[in-house]
Amino acid sequence: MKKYLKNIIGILGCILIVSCSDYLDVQPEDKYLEEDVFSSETGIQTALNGIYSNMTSNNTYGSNLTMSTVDVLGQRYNLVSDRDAFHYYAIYDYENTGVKTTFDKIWTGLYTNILNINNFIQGIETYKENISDEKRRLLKGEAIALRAMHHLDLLRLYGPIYSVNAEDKSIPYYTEAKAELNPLLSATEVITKILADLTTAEELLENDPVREFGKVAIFQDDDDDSGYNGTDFYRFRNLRLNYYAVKALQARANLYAGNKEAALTVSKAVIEEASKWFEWTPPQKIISAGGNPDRTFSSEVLFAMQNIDLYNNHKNLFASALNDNSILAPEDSRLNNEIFENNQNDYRYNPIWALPAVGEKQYKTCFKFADVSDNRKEFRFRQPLIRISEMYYIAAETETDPAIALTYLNTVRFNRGLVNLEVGVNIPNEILKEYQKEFYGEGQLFFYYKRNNFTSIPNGSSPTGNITMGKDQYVVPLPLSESDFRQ
Amino acid sequence: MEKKLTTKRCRLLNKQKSLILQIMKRSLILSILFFSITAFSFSQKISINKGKVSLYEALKEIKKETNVDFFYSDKELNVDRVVLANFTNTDVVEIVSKLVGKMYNVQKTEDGILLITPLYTNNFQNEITVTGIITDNFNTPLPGVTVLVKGTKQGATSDIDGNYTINAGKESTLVYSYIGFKTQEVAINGKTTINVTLQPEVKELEEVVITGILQRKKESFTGAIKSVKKEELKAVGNLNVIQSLKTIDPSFIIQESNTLGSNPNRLPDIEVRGKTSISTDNLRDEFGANPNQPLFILDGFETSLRTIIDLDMNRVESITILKDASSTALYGAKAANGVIVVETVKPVAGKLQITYNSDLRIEMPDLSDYNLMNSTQKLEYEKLSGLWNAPYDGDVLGQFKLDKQYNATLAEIKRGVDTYWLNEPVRVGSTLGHSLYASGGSEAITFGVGINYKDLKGVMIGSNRETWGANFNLTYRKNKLNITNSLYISGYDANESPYGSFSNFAKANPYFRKTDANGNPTKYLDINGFYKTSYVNPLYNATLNTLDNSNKIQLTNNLRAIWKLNNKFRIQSNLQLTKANTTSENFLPPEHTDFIDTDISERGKYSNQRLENFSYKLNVMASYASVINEKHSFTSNLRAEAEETNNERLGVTAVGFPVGTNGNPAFAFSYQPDSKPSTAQSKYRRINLLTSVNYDFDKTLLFDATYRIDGSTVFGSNEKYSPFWAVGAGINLHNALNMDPEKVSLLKLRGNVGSTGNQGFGNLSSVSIYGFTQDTNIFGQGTDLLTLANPNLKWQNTLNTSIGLDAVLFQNKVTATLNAFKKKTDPLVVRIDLPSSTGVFGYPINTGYMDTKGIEAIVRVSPIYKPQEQIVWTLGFTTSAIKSEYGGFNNTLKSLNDAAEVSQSLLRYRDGFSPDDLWAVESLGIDPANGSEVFLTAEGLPTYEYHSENEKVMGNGRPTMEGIISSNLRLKNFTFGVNLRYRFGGDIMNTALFNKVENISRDQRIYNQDVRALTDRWINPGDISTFKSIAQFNTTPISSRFIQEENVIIGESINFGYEFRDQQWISQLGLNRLRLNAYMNEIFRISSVKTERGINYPFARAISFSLNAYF
Repeated sequence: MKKYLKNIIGILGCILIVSCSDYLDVQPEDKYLEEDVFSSETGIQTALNGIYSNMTSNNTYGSNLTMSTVDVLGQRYNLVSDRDAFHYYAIYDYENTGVKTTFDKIWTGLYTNILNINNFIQGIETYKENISDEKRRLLKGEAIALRAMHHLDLLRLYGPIYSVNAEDKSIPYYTEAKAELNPLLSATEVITKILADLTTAEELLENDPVREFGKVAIFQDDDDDSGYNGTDFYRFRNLRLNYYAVKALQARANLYAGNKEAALTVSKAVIEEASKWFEWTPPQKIISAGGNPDRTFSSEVLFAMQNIDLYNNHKNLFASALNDNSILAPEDSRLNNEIFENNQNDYRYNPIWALPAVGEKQYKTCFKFADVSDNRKEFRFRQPLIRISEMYYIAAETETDPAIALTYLNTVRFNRGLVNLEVGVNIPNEILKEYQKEFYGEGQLFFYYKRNNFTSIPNGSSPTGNITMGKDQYVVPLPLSESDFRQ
Repeated sequence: MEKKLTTKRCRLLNKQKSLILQIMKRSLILSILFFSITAFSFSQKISINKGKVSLYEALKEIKKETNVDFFYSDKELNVDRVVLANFTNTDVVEIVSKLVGKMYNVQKTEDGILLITPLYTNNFQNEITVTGIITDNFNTPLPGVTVLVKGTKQGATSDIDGNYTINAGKESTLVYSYIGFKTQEVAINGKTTINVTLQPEVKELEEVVITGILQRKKESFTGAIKSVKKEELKAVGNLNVIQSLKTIDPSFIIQESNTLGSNPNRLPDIEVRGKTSISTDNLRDEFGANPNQPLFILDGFETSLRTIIDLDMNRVESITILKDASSTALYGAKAANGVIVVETVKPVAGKLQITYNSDLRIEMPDLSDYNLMNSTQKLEYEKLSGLWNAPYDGDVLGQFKLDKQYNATLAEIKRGVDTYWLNEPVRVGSTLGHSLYASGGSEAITFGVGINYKDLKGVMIGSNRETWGANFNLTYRKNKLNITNSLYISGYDANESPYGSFSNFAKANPYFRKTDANGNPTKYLDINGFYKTSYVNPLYNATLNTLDNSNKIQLTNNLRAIWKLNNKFRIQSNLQLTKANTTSENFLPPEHTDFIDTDISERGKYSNQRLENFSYKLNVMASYASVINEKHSFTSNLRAEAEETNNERLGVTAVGFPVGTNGNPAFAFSYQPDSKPSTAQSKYRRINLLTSVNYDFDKTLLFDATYRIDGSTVFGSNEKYSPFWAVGAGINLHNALNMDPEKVSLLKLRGNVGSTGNQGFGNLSSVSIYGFTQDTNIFGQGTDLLTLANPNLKWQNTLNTSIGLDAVLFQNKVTATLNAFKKKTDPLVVRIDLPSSTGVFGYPINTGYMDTKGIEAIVRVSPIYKPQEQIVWTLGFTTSAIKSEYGGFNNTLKSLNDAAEVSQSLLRYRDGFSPDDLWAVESLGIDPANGSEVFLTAEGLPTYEYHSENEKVMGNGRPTMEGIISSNLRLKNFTFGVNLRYRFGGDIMNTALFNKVENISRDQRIYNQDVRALTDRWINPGDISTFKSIAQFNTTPISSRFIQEENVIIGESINFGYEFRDQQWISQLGLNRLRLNAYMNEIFRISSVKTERGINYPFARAISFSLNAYF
């Protein structure tokens, strides 16, 4: 009897010990575990691509931070009626439920992607054996720079007016993927971290192929010696936060923090080095391209997203078929007389703004993000986030010599079909006008106003008159989903 | 305890006749087989070596060897008796003497015949006739009990009702014996009536508690369990086992669903001894179950609630509810909420037995809780609420149009239009169920075959649930091996009513006509084109060929082998394979009112979802039991188990159907735009090792211990294994204190403590998980972090402490079970949203604890107790009271509380408060001056302003006490039982008052409302009323005004039964027995709260009948 018992217990024990651990290692079939994602170079690539893909969400860069909400805050559009979809944004009613929800979505969307980025950065380090060192540096550099970019936009939106209250508590900064709350940092601390991240990214992207090969860096059938051949993933550097885009972000962040010298140095460096790869878009591609005008001047864009929803967003926000309460359209006389000064030669004017051919609209509507007839055009679905013209504006703003500053401005103006400005013009005013013209649907204008702490800006909902600005307008309150936990 | 209902053939004569001549005469006829004399010899010595054979075989062998023949009466000599026939060179007469025993005289006649005659003679003068009834300890009559006069072979057997008659000497002793019961001796002492209650015999591995995993000796078991037999379940009702169980055990609670009512396809929420988890929906994955639901075990294997509900009640042999640690620790990781163990009928060897059951159920809608306005009242309400006033003064044209419409409506009312919409979608649902079971076979091979079918028709037209099943059991026994295979095929086909939600009918205005002049339901309800398309006729959609069907087919095969090495040791192994397919189909035709605003290419919608499930489970168990010195009794078990479950779901939706189509997806225009097939796959694996020891000392001191280690893919990578344990002890006081068995036949004090887990959460993972993003770009698809890992997540563990007392007093006249328990779940697993800047949402964390304490009691008293005359009247009282408390959250669950506030839930997660507490701002009522509500601030000041910070506990949803009061009467063949549920002290939120009296928005005024919206609302200054001004339309937040204490008495089950037997026509029909039952379920309900019940589906009252025929 005892022999039996021993045998049986023995057999049972063996079966259990030998097979249990393996038996319980079951992978979910409809989801990917982290270790699977990072087990191959392809997996790592899709994880990074997921981060870029998330950015195209309408909650963040896809719409709110570019075409809609933030541009509305910059008084781009006529939203005089309280029935207008964006009316309460235009009057800075941050207590309005809908407005609150949107700013919660922007906050949550950006931070969720930051978590994603941080998990990616940790993953690519943990599983570094699965990717070559050179590629790892490239991808990690992009990810760290994206982290800085996300934080910079959070700071610009929710942070204090930097030039006045730089020591105010602003936002938390996350560099690790963990379920822990980080403290609110002062705006200067955040800028320090952003710049630190951008420096790290710059170092990691030292050998970014964009510097040697330009934006479409490597072709599949190239027998180049870059080491990236055979995969598309390292092409189209302008769709990635590449070396130049990182430098451009450095310029943007430095200027936001008032570091004019640094901003000048960096922006000049970008202009010098990147111009050969990011050439000005020739007028024939804009004015005389028939049904396929490149209205976003895609060749100049240092960093763009490929947003599949771009044309849907155009339909939902700008299309002339929309009713008056749903459309985002500028007050017509402001657009014609003030912003574009009735200058028909400006490539940014007539190709982008037009009276609808059909329908009852008596004002011009925006075609910047309208689809083109040839669906093979490379620039389709590209949504600009950083363009080289901003570097010229930053250089102009930070250059102490007005003559040199003017050359930067005139370079852009020349490539927009405008005549040169003469020495003696009010350069800051001209820069402001350029921001108003250049960045429609790209969100930068509001941040320009906020950076310069303008106490009054043109009221978008009326043909004349200004709107008084201050802390209550410029500083978006933290959403409840955040502030509730911080009391 | 299994009882054989077949009457044993009795070879014993009632009257002894000792006259040899008579015997010889009879024997000549009876034993003609042996009467051929071919050879003759004296004093023969032979050797036989047949081992254990029947006496008949032994004698036959001797005859063969010696040509000796035998004379005996097979009325006096039991030739089937097994004897040991091993003799070497022994005289024939001596052999036969030894074989037949000392009670017989063996005589050799001259012609070589051996005459076998009984030795004894009886004194006829002293003999009297004794009668009586033999019952078991549950007062069930025992048929087939052998009654013998001690020291003789004189005997009788009891009949099917347990009655017996025997002639015996006045001073002799009767011996009662029956398989599985202790043999009992009673001295006659001149009595002519002797009623006997046989006590079950306790043997190793025999008298057991069914735990579904191991068998435990009942007497030495320290856990709290409730065992229910098939008869008890069937005595309460015939809907399903779950419904009957709630009436029988007070700790088993089915939560009433006010929205789903008596929908036959509804899956109820069930609790045993309260909650152990926070049941936010996002805690489970798609295939997870309610984390407060008990575990269901069918024939030893885990199963789903759905399967148990659809199970044919007639197939059930017994149900055991395991409540505390001692019993549930056996199930480890999933047993924190208790375990329901269901055993089905097992085939019995013997001649073919056929049982047929038929169940008829008639359900009637219970609309008595609805309190809606009639057409006059409705128009009056509309007028008072300002519906017929132009939006601003001076709008003469607007007012004119409204007046015109008002008059048109009034004209309709005057014409007599007063539609009672509630009657339209309902019916009297009748259900017919059939179940046939046959079993039989030899000792070596027994079989059981059953089929069943039931079509449960709900009270809403078109809603039904058809269930069917077939099972085939085969058992093979040979020596030490016992192999059983059971195959079940079952399925259902369920349809939801095409009438949609019942609430649409409650909303429809009584002053609208149902149909047009031709009697066809109009698409919209309207008078003179005023409402145009805004007012849908709820009857219209039911005229279309909508489809909402789901059906399932499931195949389960259980294979079990038991190998008994000897009396002490055995090994058992089970293998279960299950395969199931569920298909759900939905079709809304393009004419459906859901598509009024939809583009024509997307009108009509068809969706199909398939769920496939496959699982296997394998376990092996070794059991060892032994008794040392007749006092120390040990049982120990070791068991290992492995299982795997695979689920796969795929669903597609197509849109755009031509008008008049039948819903065939082939006619669809396209897939649903911007959608993709929905899909999910999962694979779970679990293994566990269980060891359990049970010891009892002299049936007095009892001790139990269980240890189980569970490994699971459900656990995170760092914690794959989780241990569970339980220890219990008990004392049989009646044995320890040598109590008078006449007064106290059982008094057991028991207690145990142990830990069990709760994994009803699905695959919470401690590894980060990625999923593919929706969009692609030039670089291809992307993957996105879906959930962030929490590698330190601990699983929920519930520490379960329980003490209890079982008593059987005054010879079964009083039985009582009292239990007290405490369950502490610490830590809880809760999915929460962290501050949004962390980017982490739905993150599983360990936080806080939940402490549940409770008591339950089951007491039965029989004021009239004459089982011998079959007159028993038993009164029963069951009760349970439970209190739960949260603690240790600090502020971690703020996000859940905020979400609860937004969704107007009354439940909050706060330290020191109960999960059942209802939170609201206290209201001081309506200000008579202006008809506005006055609230009380936290500081105790009145205010018109509502602030959620002022909320406090205004009630508790759990009843102070809940249970059943019952009375059961058995009068010969007639039984009558009443079971009333009482529930008092619990608070509920009166949704009817909240939604249909007070919170009627401007837009909702056009719909019908509770009549109290007209009668109880403030109209003029000075009105003292409970509800705000009839003309106020701001949203009223939930305040204490809507929380009411509910005390309720429900007529849960009233039943009558009659059993036909012994009547001639019964046997003429070829029947053994015929039993008829009639039930009324939920027949009345008296509540202190007047609210609408059954919002989307009405509740039902049921009358049912069941017929059981035994062939």
